[in-house]
Amino acid sequence: MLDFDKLDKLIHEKGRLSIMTLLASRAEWPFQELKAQLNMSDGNLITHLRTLHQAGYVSFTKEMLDRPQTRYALTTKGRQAFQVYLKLLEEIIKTSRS
Amino acid sequence: MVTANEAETTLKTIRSLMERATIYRAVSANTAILGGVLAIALGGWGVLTACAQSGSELNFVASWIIVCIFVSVVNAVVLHKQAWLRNEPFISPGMKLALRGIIPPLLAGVALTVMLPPIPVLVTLWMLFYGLALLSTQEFAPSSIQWLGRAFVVIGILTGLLWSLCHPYTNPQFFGSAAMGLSFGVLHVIYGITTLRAVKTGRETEAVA
Repeated sequence: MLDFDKLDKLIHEKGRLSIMTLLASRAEWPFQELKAQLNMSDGNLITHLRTLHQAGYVSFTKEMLDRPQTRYALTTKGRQAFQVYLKLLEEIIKTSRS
Repeated sequence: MVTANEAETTLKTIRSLMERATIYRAVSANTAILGGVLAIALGGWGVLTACAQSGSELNFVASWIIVCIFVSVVNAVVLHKQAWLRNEPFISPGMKLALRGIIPPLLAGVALTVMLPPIPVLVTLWMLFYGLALLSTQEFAPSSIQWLGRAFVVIGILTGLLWSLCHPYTNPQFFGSAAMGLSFGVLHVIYGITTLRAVKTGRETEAVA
């Protein structure tokens, strides 16, 4: 029997799930590109990224190009949590089919 | 509680977001500038030889094919180096996707080149097929590549129309050389410079496979 409580509520939220998915698809993402891809407001995106950072799922680096730029990436803990989340979703589908 | 339907929808959303996140730049900015400068030089030389009535159609085609092969090889070397710096394979999933889209229009262009149509028609076809090849990657290409593809298609159409209007009064080699220099030359230089500036300010990535 599946324990649905195992589903990471932090990742399951729609906005944060999109962020985690994009971060899982590349090594790192500049803030502006994430914002453009997700069509989120600055405030909304920053709040979600801060939540994920506090959970240890996301790291960031700041650099100075022509203007300050922040790049975000998944940490090892974040990548593992995302994989566990995906596996659990697959198991839910399998269980319902069997 | 999460239902199977909800889980399935969530997985589909994740898959589509990941596909959208794949970005591949098939034309490196530095190579575009090199190719653009060569095209402007060759176009200018073609215009001069056409004025002196000393060029031939075969020379025209051969010289542009040599430039095309040279720039393609340089582009492959640059993409290989960029992939190596990112510790990623040269033939990445992004490159495979891009090649799947690019090869058919380019092969069509090669097939029509072998038939050796009049120079202005050939130039129009090269612009159109190159533009279509770039646009075939638009689902996963950065916006600058999409703009380059659209510009080639629009200029290709305009070149064809212009030739149909002024062909009785214009030397085909003069027209073809000028069109090649202005399209493949100027457009690539503009693309290369704007891309380098966008990468520098973080608005675009140079190449992500």
